[in-house]
Amino acid sequence: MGELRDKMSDISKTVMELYVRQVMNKYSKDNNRRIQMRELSDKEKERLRNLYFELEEQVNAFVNQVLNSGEEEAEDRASRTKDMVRKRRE
Amino acid sequence: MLSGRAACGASGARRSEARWNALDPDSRFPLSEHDSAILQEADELSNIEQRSREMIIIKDSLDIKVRSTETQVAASLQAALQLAIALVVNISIADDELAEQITQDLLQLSRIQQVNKQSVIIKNCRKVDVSMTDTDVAVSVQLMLQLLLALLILFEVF
Repeated sequence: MGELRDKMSDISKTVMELYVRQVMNKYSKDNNRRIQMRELSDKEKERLRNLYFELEEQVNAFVNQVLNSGEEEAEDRASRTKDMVRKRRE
Repeated sequence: MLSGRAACGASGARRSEARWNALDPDSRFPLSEHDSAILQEADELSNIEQRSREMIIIKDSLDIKVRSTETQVAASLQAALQLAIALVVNISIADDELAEQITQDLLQLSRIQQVNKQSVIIKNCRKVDVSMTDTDVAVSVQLMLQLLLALLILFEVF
């Protein structure tokens, strides 16, 4: 499942890149020219990278928390179902 | 996802002369062979509706535990990611008006993901554990993070 999850994540990233390019191309075509970009300094780029890494850490922690609570709930329900079945048989 | 052991005065129970009251410890559940309440799956008895906002209504019930800690964290994360995306686009594109339009267009993706909300109504129940696990929000924040990464790659930050 971990491998499947990684593959799906890669596919999702590729799709997202295509989506961003599509949006950018749409606006450059509307303006009939290339979108004028600002030149970012090395310091600004480093700050943006750090910002991304911090957000990535927070998102991964949140997603793992959601996944773990979902697995705990599934196990809890399974154990209760077993209890119910055992009681009915008795 | 809703789960937990529960005893509820649901429509499936037989009518008796005295209606079962979840708040009364001496009240006898109609289908019970003992003084204690029958244990049933909560998801068979609670009503779940799709509304525009998440809501949990608890009425005439006892010993109800609600866990929804992910909601606040998710909201903060979504706001932070939206802000980061807007920031990256606005500082990278020289035309401010165009940057704003592009930001709105990109964030349409996150707005579509936020539509799915649920309401849970617990009525005349006893000992119910409600755990709201919003996997849709987890997917949404992951997509927004990937959107941010795609922008940073496009703008040659990475």
